[in-house]
Amino acid sequence: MPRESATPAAIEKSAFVPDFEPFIAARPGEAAAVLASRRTAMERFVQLGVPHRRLENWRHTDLSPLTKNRFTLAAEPTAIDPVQLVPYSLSGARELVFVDGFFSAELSNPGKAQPGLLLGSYAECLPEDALRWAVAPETAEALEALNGAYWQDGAFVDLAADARVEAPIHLLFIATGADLPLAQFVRNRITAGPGSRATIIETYASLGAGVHFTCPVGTVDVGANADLDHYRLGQENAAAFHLATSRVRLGRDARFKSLAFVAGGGLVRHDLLAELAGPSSEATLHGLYLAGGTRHIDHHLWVRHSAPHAASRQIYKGILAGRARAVFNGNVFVASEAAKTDAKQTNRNLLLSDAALVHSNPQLEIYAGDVRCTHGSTVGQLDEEALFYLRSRGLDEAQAKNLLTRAFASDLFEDIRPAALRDRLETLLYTWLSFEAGIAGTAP
Amino acid sequence: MLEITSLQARVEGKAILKGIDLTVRPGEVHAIMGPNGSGKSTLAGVLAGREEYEVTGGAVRYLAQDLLELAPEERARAGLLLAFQYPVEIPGVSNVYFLKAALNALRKHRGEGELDAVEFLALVRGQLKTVQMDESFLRRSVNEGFSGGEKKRNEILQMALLEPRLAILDETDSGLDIDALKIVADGVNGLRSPERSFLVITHYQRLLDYIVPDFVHVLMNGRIVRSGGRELALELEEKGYGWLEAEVTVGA
Repeated sequence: MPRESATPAAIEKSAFVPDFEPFIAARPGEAAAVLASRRTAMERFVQLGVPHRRLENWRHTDLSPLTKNRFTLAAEPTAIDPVQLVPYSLSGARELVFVDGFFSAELSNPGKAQPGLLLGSYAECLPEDALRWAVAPETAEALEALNGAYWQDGAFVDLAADARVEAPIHLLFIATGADLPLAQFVRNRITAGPGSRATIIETYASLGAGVHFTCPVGTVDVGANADLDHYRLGQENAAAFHLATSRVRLGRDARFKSLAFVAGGGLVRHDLLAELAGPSSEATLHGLYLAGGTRHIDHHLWVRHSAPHAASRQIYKGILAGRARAVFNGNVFVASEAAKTDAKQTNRNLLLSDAALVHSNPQLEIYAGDVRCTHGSTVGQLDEEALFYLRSRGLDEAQAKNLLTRAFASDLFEDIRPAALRDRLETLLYTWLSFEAGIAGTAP
Repeated sequence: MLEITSLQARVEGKAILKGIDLTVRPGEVHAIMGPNGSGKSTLAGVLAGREEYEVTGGAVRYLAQDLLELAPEERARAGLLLAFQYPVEIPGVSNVYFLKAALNALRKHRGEGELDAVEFLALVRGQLKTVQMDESFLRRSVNEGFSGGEKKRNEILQMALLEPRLAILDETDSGLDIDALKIVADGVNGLRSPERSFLVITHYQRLLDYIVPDFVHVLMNGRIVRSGGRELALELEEKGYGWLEAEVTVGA
């Protein structure tokens, strides 16, 4: 990622810097090395400041509404009624639940112990891993640095070599979304050892409608010949800020498949950096973002091919209604040593209203010969002829639009496992279309 | 059933229909023939409710309603069905889902209960045979990758399922080989009844060998220039449209 220096004004505007010393003072029990890493991270953040629109990578996403809020961290775990989790919980899954940044052992259900699987709170699995940043603090992006300073907790998932975890692992991050604007700095680490296999689902949801700020940083290490499915589900409220960074690294013959499903959040930004570091590795990065009202959803993908014979497939689709805004920036970088790279990138957007807007910017940077790289980007509306065809068979206009819109996204649903998750996502899409986009249809 | 009086319509500002008069009674099969550009498909589109066609005059009564006031889906629910000349491909929507949604939209309107997947499948299986389609057609996306003949058979399948009062076939014979044409015609003939009417739009009289009409109308330059029985179609086949064109010109 190219970066530029921040202006002092951006830092002044940030509510995050003055809170740092009190935050540190309130953590007397924390190991010195951890505190030191927090300080390093804060220094980095002060150097960068809150990203602003003069930066190339933030041209279309304005964080000034974020800095107008004064966020605090929850002082202690917020008590919630387990019943409130029912809509988000996934039956049959090994589930970890976090509330306003705190791990909740009571609400979690990690399932039976399995040799080769470590699953728990990131903070509790420390310290030996705490300081191992996926990226050196001095090269972290601003939001990663902010997270590095303030991180509270998150999930730690470690699969030993050849570990096969059958049940999906569900990481559920709940923001209570009460009146006082809270921030949660989530740090997740997923390590899939050589030959291991698992499905991991992250869900971000809010219970109330209040403003809150979710800032997750995740690292995913997919070892040689490992096979990891990763779903990321955004269901936060319309007032929520969700600014996430994920770094994924694939080893030799590794396979990583992700789906980012965004059906919530007011201002959402997700930077996904995936490095195909091992030869013959394969990354499939799918996304579906639904934006209505005045929501703003920004996906920045950075796919780096640094080893030969690797393949990457990106398909991101957006459905926009109301006055929503979406940004898709897909960068594929093919290093000189990444011969025989096969990279494909597609971004398709469907506008359900005239006032919605998409900025789509696919980019290829190729330094190797003998590669196959394609990219494409479309922004369009529903096919009038198909709409008429459906109406001429008795479906009303909303039903017909609902059906055609679901058809637009249908290919992204084909490979979703487990089926319970696919059903949930299909229902979310259907519900979103009916209630937020105003095109009520017939249930799937 | 259907009463069209002095119907005029234009497309993109150009007058296409210049005063059509046509009455279709229950159980009748009317064929509309005419050369390319005569307004045949425009007539079908206006009747089905295509919004890009602007009606500039005249009236259409259908089952005691003002047809032109109805939205396309309301026309469908009132029992009007247009078999498309170019059935639309809809990737991502399975044929079975589409057919079930269409049938249930109509059943709901008629106050009948909606069919669930199992009930629907039982019903559609029987209908598939009449158009000689196998069950794999149900799982495929609507018309996607279908051959010309398969698309038209899919239209007839919808006709069999939706049981329209008035079916309009817009050049259903175009692009069909003789075997497919026979399947389509058999499907239509199987649906003929004293309550159901058909408007068969075609360029060629060949289709009318298989779907025998009660009346034949010749549409030229936006007007019906001649009406008659089945023998008119045969006469047209023998003489071509030029013969009538000359006559119309002389008459004008």
